[in-house]
Amino acid sequence: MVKRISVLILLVMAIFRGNAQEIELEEALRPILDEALQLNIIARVLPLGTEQEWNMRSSKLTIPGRSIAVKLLGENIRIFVVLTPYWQENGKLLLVAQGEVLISEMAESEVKYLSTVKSIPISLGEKVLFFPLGVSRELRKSFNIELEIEILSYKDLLEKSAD
Amino acid sequence: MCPGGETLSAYLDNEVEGPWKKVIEEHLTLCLSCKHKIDEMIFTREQLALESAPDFRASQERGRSYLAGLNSIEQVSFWRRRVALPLPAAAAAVLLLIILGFSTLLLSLHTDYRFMSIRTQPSGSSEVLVTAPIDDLERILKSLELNSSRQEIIIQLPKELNFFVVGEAEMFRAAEYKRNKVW
Repeated sequence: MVKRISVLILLVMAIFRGNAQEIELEEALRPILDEALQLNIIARVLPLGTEQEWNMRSSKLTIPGRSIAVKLLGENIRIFVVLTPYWQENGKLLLVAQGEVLISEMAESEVKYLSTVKSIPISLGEKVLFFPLGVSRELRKSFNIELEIEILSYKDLLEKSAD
Repeated sequence: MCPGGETLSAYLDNEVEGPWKKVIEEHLTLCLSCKHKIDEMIFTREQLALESAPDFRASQERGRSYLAGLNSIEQVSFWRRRVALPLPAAAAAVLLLIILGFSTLLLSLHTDYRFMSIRTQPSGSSEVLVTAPIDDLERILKSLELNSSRQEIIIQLPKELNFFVVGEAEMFRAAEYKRNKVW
């Protein structure tokens, strides 16, 4: 008797399985979209001590733990910044920035390679400034590069746009 | 006048009373024919009395068994009731069940083919497990702009600008940095 009922249940499950898979996939995607983050990045070139002279804005979607690479290409410089947001136990984000700089400061001289990793705990919507070439208050005649990073919840943005 | 056979039989059974019985008795002493009939009746009864009674016990037992069988059919439960099926139909039903069983088994083996789960580790980090056909994954990646393994933004810096490394790379919260800004 139990076997007959089991066979019937399996048959019914097999029939409804096709539709269930579609629903499962949609439901499975929802947690990823709920966790998706939008990174707003503004690259600025600052003459030190003056107002900003040049900037470039860009936005990318990602999920916690998945990195976004920013390449800054100039005449004498190649900067690679890898930004990775992580959720921490306390509910705050941890932004990890890995910077690599290839620079030729003097014409036809050797190329310097610098590498660094920085991390900072932040909240959603909080802006962070990353200076791959460092910060100096003494050199006022050269240009500096600044990356302003803002991380927003993609779900919140969708809800705001829907409103 | 001779009495009829029924009257003689009633006389023999001692069912005739009164003057009629006496009349019949007198008639039998005089009428040889009636005397002969009554003797035959007596002879027949004696023969029948000598015969042993037939044994009905076997047929009674068969009757009881049949009735018991009828009662037992009525008391069979629904799940124990048997249904007679033609052999080809039964074979086809068994074959169909086997095919459906294998199909179900194959489907169950692919249960996690489109499986996705997000587990939060004790450290707070999330572990995402995705198992899906390629076209579905492509859809996910497109929706998240994740067409490459790592998203990339390429920014061309202004030309004819020379940059210098002025120190170690630094990262600040924007609000804190502006408070400490001296220039």
